[in-house]
Amino acid sequence: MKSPEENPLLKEVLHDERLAALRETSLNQGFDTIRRARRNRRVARVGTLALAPVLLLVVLTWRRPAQETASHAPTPGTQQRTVAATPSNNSVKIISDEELFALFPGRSLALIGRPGNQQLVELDRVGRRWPGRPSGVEN
Amino acid sequence: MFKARHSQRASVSGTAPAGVGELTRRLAGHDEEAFRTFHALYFDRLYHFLLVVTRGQEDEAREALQETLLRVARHARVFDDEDAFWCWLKVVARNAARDGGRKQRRYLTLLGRLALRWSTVEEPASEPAESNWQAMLTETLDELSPDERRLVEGKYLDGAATRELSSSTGLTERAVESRLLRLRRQLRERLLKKLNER
Repeated sequence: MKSPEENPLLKEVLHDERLAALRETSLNQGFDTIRRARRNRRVARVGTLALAPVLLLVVLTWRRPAQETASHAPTPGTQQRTVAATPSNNSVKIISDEELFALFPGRSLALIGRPGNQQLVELDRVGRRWPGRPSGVEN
Repeated sequence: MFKARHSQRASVSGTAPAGVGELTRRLAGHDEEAFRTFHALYFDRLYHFLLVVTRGQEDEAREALQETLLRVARHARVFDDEDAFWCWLKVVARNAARDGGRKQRRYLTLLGRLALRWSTVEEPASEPAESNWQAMLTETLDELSPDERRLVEGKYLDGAATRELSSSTGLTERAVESRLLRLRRQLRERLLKKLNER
Protein backbone atom coordinates (compact mmCIF):
# COMPACT_ATOMS: atom_id res chain seq x y z
CA MET A 1 0.00 0.00 0.00
CA LYS A 2 1.72 3.12 -1.17
CA SER A 3 -0.94 5.75 -0.58
CA PRO A 4 -3.15 5.85 2.47
CA GLU A 5 -6.31 7.32 0.97
CA GLU A 6 -8.37 4.24 1.79
CA ASN A 7 -7.03 3.74 5.27
CA PRO A 8 -9.44 5.44 7.72
CA LEU A 9 -6.81 5.78 10.42
CA LEU A 10 -4.26 7.41 8.13
CA LYS A 11 -6.94 9.65 6.73
CA GLU A 12 -7.98 10.75 10.21
CA VAL A 13 -4.38 11.24 11.21
CA LEU A 14 -3.23 13.20 8.18
CA HIS A 15 -6.34 15.22 7.47
CA ASP A 16 -7.54 18.24 9.39
CA GLU A 17 -9.80 21.28 9.02
CA ARG A 18 -7.22 23.17 7.00
CA LEU A 19 -7.09 20.39 4.48
CA ALA A 20 -10.89 20.29 4.36
CA ALA A 21 -10.87 24.01 3.61
CA LEU A 22 -8.25 23.49 0.94
CA ARG A 23 -10.36 20.72 -0.58
CA GLU A 24 -13.22 23.13 -1.11
CA THR A 25 -11.10 26.09 -2.18
CA SER A 26 -9.09 24.10 -4.69
CA LEU A 27 -12.25 22.63 -6.21
CA ASN A 28 -13.69 26.10 -6.75
CA GLN A 29 -10.40 27.44 -8.06
CA GLY A 30 -10.27 24.53 -10.48
CA PHE A 31 -13.75 25.35 -11.72
CA ASP A 32 -12.74 28.98 -12.24
CA THR A 33 -9.64 27.91 -14.15
CA ILE A 34 -11.68 25.56 -16.33
CA ARG A 35 -14.27 28.24 -17.08
CA ARG A 36 -11.53 30.69 -17.96
CA ALA A 37 -9.80 28.18 -20.21
CA ARG A 38 -13.08 27.41 -21.94
CA ARG A 39 -13.80 31.10 -22.44
CA ASN A 40 -10.32 31.69 -23.86
CA ARG A 41 -10.74 28.78 -26.22
CA ARG A 42 -14.11 30.10 -27.42
CA VAL A 43 -12.70 33.60 -27.94
CA ALA A 44 -9.76 32.16 -29.85
CA ARG A 45 -12.08 30.10 -32.06
CA VAL A 46 -14.42 33.01 -32.80
CA GLY A 47 -11.45 35.29 -33.38
CA THR A 48 -9.95 32.87 -35.86
CA LEU A 49 -13.23 32.53 -37.71
CA ALA A 50 -13.66 36.28 -37.84
CA LEU A 51 -10.08 36.92 -38.90
CA ALA A 52 -9.98 34.28 -41.61
CA PRO A 53 -11.93 36.27 -44.26
CA VAL A 54 -10.04 39.43 -43.40
CA LEU A 55 -6.72 37.65 -43.77
CA LEU A 56 -7.84 36.10 -47.03
CA LEU A 57 -8.80 39.52 -48.33
CA VAL A 58 -5.50 41.01 -47.26
CA VAL A 59 -3.57 38.19 -48.93
CA LEU A 60 -5.53 38.54 -52.16
CA THR A 61 -5.12 42.32 -52.19
CA TRP A 62 -1.39 42.03 -51.69
CA ARG A 63 -0.94 39.35 -54.30
CA ARG A 64 -2.82 41.19 -57.05
CA PRO A 65 -0.59 44.30 -57.16
CA ALA A 66 2.43 42.03 -56.98
CA GLN A 67 1.23 40.05 -60.00
CA GLU A 68 0.43 43.23 -61.92
CA THR A 69 3.87 44.63 -61.18
CA ALA A 70 5.41 41.38 -62.34
CA SER A 71 3.45 41.42 -65.61
CA HIS A 72 4.42 45.06 -66.25
CA ALA A 73 8.06 44.48 -65.46
CA PRO A 74 10.06 45.41 -68.58
CA THR A 75 12.03 42.67 -70.31
CA PRO A 76 14.75 43.52 -72.82
CA GLY A 77 12.81 42.26 -75.84
CA THR A 78 9.53 43.96 -75.07
CA GLN A 79 10.78 47.24 -73.72
CA GLN A 80 10.36 49.22 -76.92
CA ARG A 81 6.93 47.79 -77.60
CA THR A 82 5.74 48.62 -74.12
CA VAL A 83 6.87 52.18 -74.42
CA ALA A 84 5.10 52.50 -77.77
CA ALA A 85 1.92 50.97 -76.42
CA THR A 86 1.73 53.13 -73.32
CA PRO A 87 0.16 56.27 -74.90
CA SER A 88 -2.58 54.28 -76.61
CA ASN A 89 -3.35 52.48 -73.31
CA ASN A 90 -3.78 55.68 -71.43
CA SER A 91 -6.03 57.50 -73.95
CA VAL A 92 -8.38 55.84 -76.38
CA LYS A 93 -9.36 57.94 -79.35
CA ILE A 94 -12.43 57.01 -81.30
CA ILE A 95 -12.08 57.57 -85.04
CA SER A 96 -14.47 57.27 -87.94
CA ASP A 97 -14.23 54.70 -90.75
CA GLU A 98 -12.75 57.31 -93.08
CA GLU A 99 -10.10 58.29 -90.56
CA LEU A 100 -9.27 54.61 -90.14
CA PHE A 101 -8.86 54.08 -93.90
CA ALA A 102 -6.72 57.22 -94.01
CA LEU A 103 -4.24 55.55 -91.68
CA PHE A 104 -3.43 52.99 -94.38
CA PRO A 105 -2.98 55.01 -97.58
CA GLY A 106 -2.57 53.13 -100.86
CA ARG A 107 -4.09 49.88 -99.59
CA SER A 108 -7.27 48.11 -100.44
CA LEU A 109 -9.24 47.88 -97.21
CA ALA A 110 -12.74 46.88 -96.19
CA LEU A 111 -14.74 46.86 -92.97
CA ILE A 112 -16.63 43.58 -92.66
CA GLY A 113 -19.24 42.64 -90.11
CA ARG A 114 -22.05 44.18 -88.04
CA PRO A 115 -21.57 47.73 -86.72
CA GLY A 116 -19.76 47.59 -83.42
CA ASN A 117 -18.15 44.26 -84.26
CA GLN A 118 -16.46 45.02 -87.54
CA GLN A 119 -13.12 43.76 -88.78
CA LEU A 120 -10.73 45.71 -90.91
CA VAL A 121 -9.61 43.49 -93.74
CA GLU A 122 -6.69 44.23 -96.03
CA LEU A 123 -7.87 42.87 -99.32
CA ASP A 124 -4.40 42.66 -100.93
CA ARG A 125 -3.15 40.27 -98.26
CA VAL A 126 -6.07 37.90 -98.10
CA GLY A 127 -5.18 35.95 -101.21
CA ARG A 128 -1.43 36.23 -100.78
CA ARG A 129 -0.74 34.96 -97.18
CA TRP A 130 -3.78 33.11 -95.82
CA PRO A 131 -5.89 32.09 -98.75
CA GLY A 132 -8.79 30.80 -96.70
CA ARG A 133 -8.74 33.26 -93.81
CA PRO A 134 -8.64 37.06 -93.82
CA SER A 135 -6.31 38.81 -91.40
CA GLY A 136 -7.72 41.82 -89.70
CA VAL A 137 -7.84 44.27 -86.94
CA GLU A 138 -10.95 44.64 -84.83
CA ASN A 139 -12.61 47.97 -85.02
CA MET B 1 -3.77 -8.93 13.53
CA PHE B 2 -3.33 -5.29 12.68
CA LYS B 3 -0.65 -5.89 10.08
CA ALA B 4 -2.59 -8.65 8.40
CA ARG B 5 -5.68 -6.49 8.06
CA HIS B 6 -3.70 -3.63 6.62
CA SER B 7 -2.05 -5.78 4.02
CA GLN B 8 -5.56 -6.73 2.87
CA ARG B 9 -6.36 -3.06 2.47
CA ALA B 10 -3.22 -2.61 0.46
CA SER B 11 -4.52 -4.56 -2.49
CA VAL B 12 -7.78 -2.59 -2.44
CA SER B 13 -6.13 0.82 -2.59
CA GLY B 14 -3.91 -0.22 -5.46
CA THR B 15 -6.96 -0.65 -7.70
CA ALA B 16 -6.97 1.79 -10.56
CA PRO B 17 -10.06 3.90 -11.08
CA ALA B 18 -11.96 2.75 -14.13
CA GLY B 19 -12.50 4.94 -17.19
CA VAL B 20 -9.37 7.03 -16.85
CA GLY B 21 -9.37 7.53 -20.63
CA GLU B 22 -12.82 9.03 -20.57
CA LEU B 23 -12.03 11.07 -17.48
CA THR B 24 -8.85 12.56 -18.89
CA ARG B 25 -10.48 13.23 -22.25
CA ARG B 26 -13.19 15.23 -20.53
CA LEU B 27 -10.64 16.93 -18.32
CA ALA B 28 -8.66 17.95 -21.37
CA GLY B 29 -11.90 19.30 -22.83
CA HIS B 30 -12.32 21.49 -19.70
CA ASP B 31 -15.36 19.69 -18.36
CA GLU B 32 -16.31 20.85 -14.85
CA GLU B 33 -17.89 17.56 -13.83
CA ALA B 34 -14.78 15.69 -14.92
CA PHE B 35 -12.70 17.99 -12.74
CA ARG B 36 -15.02 17.32 -9.81
CA THR B 37 -14.56 13.56 -10.32
CA PHE B 38 -10.81 13.92 -10.69
CA HIS B 39 -10.65 16.07 -7.57
CA ALA B 40 -12.62 13.52 -5.55
CA LEU B 41 -10.44 10.66 -6.79
CA TYR B 42 -7.00 12.17 -6.58
CA PHE B 43 -7.05 14.94 -3.95
CA ASP B 44 -6.05 12.69 -1.06
CA ARG B 45 -3.65 10.60 -3.10
CA LEU B 46 -1.83 13.68 -4.36
CA TYR B 47 -1.71 15.18 -0.89
CA HIS B 48 -0.14 12.06 0.53
CA PHE B 49 2.35 11.95 -2.31
CA LEU B 50 3.23 15.60 -1.75
CA LEU B 51 3.68 15.03 1.97
CA VAL B 52 6.37 12.55 1.01
CA VAL B 53 7.92 14.88 -1.56
CA THR B 54 8.04 17.78 0.89
CA ARG B 55 9.28 15.46 3.67
CA GLY B 56 6.30 16.03 5.88
CA GLN B 57 6.16 19.82 5.48
CA GLU B 58 2.40 20.22 5.53
CA ASP B 59 2.24 23.85 4.42
CA GLU B 60 4.50 23.19 1.47
CA ALA B 61 2.51 20.09 0.59
CA ARG B 62 -0.78 22.00 0.67
CA GLU B 63 0.56 24.85 -1.41
CA ALA B 64 1.95 22.40 -3.94
CA LEU B 65 -1.31 20.46 -3.98
CA GLN B 66 -3.28 23.59 -4.78
CA GLU B 67 -0.88 24.45 -7.59
CA THR B 68 -0.96 20.88 -8.91
CA LEU B 69 -4.73 20.85 -9.12
CA LEU B 70 -4.73 24.16 -10.97
CA ARG B 71 -2.09 22.92 -13.40
CA VAL B 72 -4.16 19.82 -14.08
CA ALA B 73 -7.24 21.97 -14.69
CA ARG B 74 -5.27 24.07 -17.16
CA HIS B 75 -3.10 21.53 -18.94
CA ALA B 76 -4.82 18.16 -18.60
CA ARG B 77 -3.79 15.56 -21.15
CA VAL B 78 -5.50 12.42 -22.36
CA PHE B 79 -4.28 9.11 -20.90
CA ASP B 80 -5.72 5.68 -21.55
CA ASP B 81 -3.72 4.05 -18.82
CA GLU B 82 -4.15 4.88 -15.13
CA ASP B 83 -0.52 4.21 -14.33
CA ALA B 84 0.62 6.62 -17.01
CA PHE B 85 -1.84 9.22 -15.74
CA TRP B 86 -0.63 8.82 -12.18
CA CYS B 87 2.99 9.11 -13.32
CA TRP B 88 2.13 12.33 -15.13
CA LEU B 89 0.31 13.63 -12.06
CA LYS B 90 3.35 12.87 -9.95
CA VAL B 91 5.55 14.85 -12.33
CA VAL B 92 3.16 17.80 -12.19
CA ALA B 93 2.98 17.57 -8.40
CA ARG B 94 6.74 17.28 -8.00
CA ASN B 95 7.28 20.29 -10.25
CA ALA B 96 4.71 22.29 -8.31
CA ALA B 97 6.46 21.38 -5.08
CA ARG B 98 9.84 22.32 -6.54
CA ASP B 99 8.54 25.63 -7.84
CA GLY B 100 7.11 26.37 -4.39
CA GLY B 101 10.41 25.36 -2.85
CA ARG B 102 12.27 27.60 -5.25
CA LYS B 103 10.20 30.59 -4.21
CA GLN B 104 10.94 29.83 -0.61
CA ARG B 105 14.62 29.31 -1.34
CA ARG B 106 14.76 32.63 -3.20
CA TYR B 107 13.35 34.33 -0.12
CA LEU B 108 15.80 32.52 2.11
CA THR B 109 18.63 33.42 -0.23
CA LEU B 110 17.63 37.05 -0.05
CA LEU B 111 17.52 36.91 3.72
CA GLY B 112 20.81 35.12 3.76
CA ARG B 113 22.44 37.73 1.58
CA LEU B 114 21.11 40.56 3.64
CA ALA B 115 21.78 39.23 7.11
CA LEU B 116 24.12 36.28 6.96
CA ARG B 117 26.53 36.92 4.16
CA TRP B 118 28.77 34.09 5.22
CA SER B 119 26.08 31.42 5.11
CA THR B 120 24.74 29.67 2.06
CA VAL B 121 21.25 28.26 1.55
CA GLU B 122 21.43 24.53 1.35
CA GLU B 123 19.94 22.75 -1.62
CA PRO B 124 17.41 20.16 -0.52
CA ALA B 125 18.67 16.62 -0.49
CA SER B 126 17.38 14.21 -3.08
CA GLU B 127 13.66 13.67 -2.97
CA PRO B 128 12.43 10.53 -1.23
CA ALA B 129 10.62 7.92 -3.22
CA GLU B 130 6.91 7.37 -2.80
CA SER B 131 6.68 6.16 0.77
CA ASN B 132 5.20 3.04 2.14
CA TRP B 133 2.68 4.69 4.38
CA GLN B 134 1.52 1.44 5.80
CA ALA B 135 4.95 0.49 7.07
CA MET B 136 5.38 3.91 8.63
CA LEU B 137 1.99 3.74 10.31
CA THR B 138 2.65 0.30 11.69
CA GLU B 139 6.00 1.50 12.96
CA THR B 140 4.38 4.51 14.60
CA LEU B 141 1.64 2.41 16.17
CA ASP B 142 4.26 0.12 17.61
CA GLU B 143 5.62 3.07 19.52
CA LEU B 144 2.31 3.56 21.37
CA SER B 145 1.53 1.95 24.69
CA PRO B 146 -0.61 -1.24 24.51
CA ASP B 147 -3.68 0.57 25.90
CA GLU B 148 -3.36 3.41 23.44
CA ARG B 149 -2.83 1.04 20.58
CA ARG B 150 -5.86 -1.04 21.58
CA LEU B 151 -7.98 2.09 21.62
CA VAL B 152 -6.84 3.18 18.17
CA GLU B 153 -7.27 -0.29 16.69
CA GLY B 154 -10.70 -0.64 18.26
CA LYS B 155 -11.85 2.64 16.74
CA TYR B 156 -10.28 2.49 13.29
CA LEU B 157 -9.91 -1.20 12.53
CA ASP B 158 -12.77 -2.85 14.37
CA GLY B 159 -15.02 0.14 13.78
CA ALA B 160 -16.18 0.20 17.38
CA ALA B 161 -18.41 3.06 18.53
CA THR B 162 -17.26 5.45 21.23
CA ARG B 163 -19.80 3.96 23.62
CA GLU B 164 -18.40 0.46 23.12
CA LEU B 165 -14.88 1.72 23.65
CA SER B 166 -16.03 3.53 26.75
CA SER B 167 -17.46 0.38 28.29
CA SER B 168 -14.45 -1.75 27.32
CA THR B 169 -11.88 0.72 28.68
CA GLY B 170 -13.84 2.00 31.65
CA LEU B 171 -13.39 5.60 30.49
CA THR B 172 -16.16 8.10 29.85
CA GLU B 173 -17.15 8.68 26.22
CA ARG B 174 -15.77 12.17 26.42
CA ALA B 175 -12.48 10.85 27.74
CA VAL B 176 -12.34 8.30 24.92
CA GLU B 177 -12.91 11.03 22.32
CA SER B 178 -10.30 13.27 23.82
CA ARG B 179 -7.77 10.46 24.11
CA LEU B 180 -8.36 9.49 20.49
CA LEU B 181 -7.84 13.09 19.43
CA ARG B 182 -4.58 13.26 21.33
CA LEU B 183 -3.45 9.95 19.88
CA ARG B 184 -4.24 11.07 16.34
CA ARG B 185 -2.17 14.21 16.85
CA GLN B 186 0.64 12.15 18.29
CA LEU B 187 0.56 9.73 15.36
CA ARG B 188 0.49 12.61 12.91
CA GLU B 189 3.50 14.30 14.43
CA ARG B 190 5.45 11.07 14.49
CA LEU B 191 4.51 10.18 10.91
CA LEU B 192 5.54 13.60 9.61
CA LYS B 193 8.74 13.41 11.61
CA LYS B 194 9.50 10.03 10.06
CA LEU B 195 8.91 11.47 6.62
CA ASN B 196 11.28 14.31 7.38
CA GLU B 197 13.95 11.89 8.54
CA ARG B 198 13.79 9.69 5.46
